[in-house]
Amino acid sequence: MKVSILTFEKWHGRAPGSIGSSMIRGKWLAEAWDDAQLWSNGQYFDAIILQKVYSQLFIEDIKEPKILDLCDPDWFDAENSKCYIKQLGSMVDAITCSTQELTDFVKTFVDIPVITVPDRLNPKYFTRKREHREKAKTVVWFGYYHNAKVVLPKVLTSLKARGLKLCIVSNSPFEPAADYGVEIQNIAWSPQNAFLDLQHGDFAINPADTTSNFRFKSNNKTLISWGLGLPVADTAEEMDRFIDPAERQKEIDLRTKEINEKWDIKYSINQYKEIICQK
Amino acid sequence: MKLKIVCTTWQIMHWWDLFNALKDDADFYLIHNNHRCWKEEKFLAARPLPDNAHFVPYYEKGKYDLAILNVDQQVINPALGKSKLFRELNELITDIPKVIINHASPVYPEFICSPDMTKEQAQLECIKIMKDLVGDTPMVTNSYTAASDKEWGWGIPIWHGLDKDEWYDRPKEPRVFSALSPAGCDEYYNRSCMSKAGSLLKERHGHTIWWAKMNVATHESPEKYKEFLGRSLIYLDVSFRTPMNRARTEAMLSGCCVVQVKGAHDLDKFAKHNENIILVDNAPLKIADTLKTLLEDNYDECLKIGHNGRLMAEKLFNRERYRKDWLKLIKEVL
Repeated sequence: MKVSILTFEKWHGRAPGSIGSSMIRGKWLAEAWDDAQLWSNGQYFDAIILQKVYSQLFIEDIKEPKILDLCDPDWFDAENSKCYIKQLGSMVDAITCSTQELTDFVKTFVDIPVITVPDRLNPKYFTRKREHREKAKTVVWFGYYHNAKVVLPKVLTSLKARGLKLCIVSNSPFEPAADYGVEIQNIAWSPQNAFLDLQHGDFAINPADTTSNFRFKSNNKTLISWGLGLPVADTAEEMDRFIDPAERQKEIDLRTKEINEKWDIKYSINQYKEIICQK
Repeated sequence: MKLKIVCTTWQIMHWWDLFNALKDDADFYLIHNNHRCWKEEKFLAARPLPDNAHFVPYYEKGKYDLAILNVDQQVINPALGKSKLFRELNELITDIPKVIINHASPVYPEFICSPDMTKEQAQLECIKIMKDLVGDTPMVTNSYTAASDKEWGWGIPIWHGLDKDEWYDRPKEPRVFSALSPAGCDEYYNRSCMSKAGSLLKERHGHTIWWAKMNVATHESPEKYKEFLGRSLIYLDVSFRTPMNRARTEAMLSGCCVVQVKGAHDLDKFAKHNENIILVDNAPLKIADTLKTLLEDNYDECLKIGHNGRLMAEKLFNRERYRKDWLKLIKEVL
């Protein structure tokens, strides 16, 4: 069985490592799965996973089992994304989604199996853990700049109150109109160094914006942070708690166990195998 | 028994010609690619796939007799999508004979640009990289000049071959048209000459060069393009490193009087100045003045040259000759 994984990044000719979802749901999956490989032009396959690839003209010529993998509600803007979900739902054998919220939503449009395959971690990228020996001085945030602008301004006063610096690893610098006296360090995201750069922080923050499509966002930033040995503070209480290095270590020990039990990419491989076998 | 030829979408018009030319000889299997899709409505509208062309999602060993792949000078830049497409398919297909079509010439200063490098050195570097990419696979060029030491230095020339009935020779309006590519590869297309000639013609004589996609929306539909071309008295081609510009042949088949900058490929093999073409120096002012004279004083002469150009194109750039050349090559390769 040869399973091909065609990523958004490859189909659209984007720079390797520039698209987070293609890395997590394509590259990491292919590298951990003996029977799978990332798609290249002309490559033979017995089954294919189309990670955010919506080309109906290509999909309709594929006779083998085909799974459409979604991590965004792209059909909100179908004319731009070309993700015509209703039509695509009749052209593939199954749809996988990165979150249960997305799965529940997609199910209302299509008549094929829709399964949640959450974002998970490939352990080979998480061998070096952050060590915790001192009181926290720096928190880290990572993601696309357009999200930074939305979620970070509201946490600056909390950081100032605790005397914490903010390190941002993103595709463009975050330069707020008012920094509230918080020391801000911007580091350019690079596929090669990003995970090392994230470990500049003592713990991570991942504030959500519940007013937009954030409700469909997966927990991959939390998982990546945990994988790197960084606790994630979601509340003011957790921020206070993670100032203490012993608390951070305790949290990471717990989360490492959770990753091994729930968030290892091998569980996604099993899910995909099951979906393909059912075709 | 028909040949099975595997390929992928590249220059749609050239593939269209080849599919149709070999309609009784070969079936073509186009591998879907992430660079260009013929199945897009705009392409299909212009060139519906003939019955002997089919799409396939991937390559399968043992199913085909021959692979035909494409390159151009930009393929030497590994970051480009078209470059990745060629490299991936070329590495993948190793069990059958291959032919590579190269319709370009080694002019790519946008990629090979070192301050201490002359144009000649840049050209040699382009040739060297292409040679490494193509290796010993037979490479088809679109002109004899492209295969000569003046350009790549190797290759098998096969001129293109069009269906004369596809083009309209309409009553001619006194205007100049050009379908020179509007952007990218400036030096290859000699685009600055085109812009300057256009400005001079306007400033000095009040005439406009109608330039496809720039000031006339001929790209809106194939019919619009053919009609506009077919009603244009003069077609201007300032490029001289493009091996046998196909648009120029379309203009000839449409009865336009072609004005061509000197030095273009293979002129010695088909062009007769003032008889079936008008040759001008690569000098914007001379081009502008020549166009002015033709437009204002030589309508009948242009019609005659256009007519002769059409007869010549029908004789030399036709489907049957194209078919024979390709079948001869395929026989040699297989």
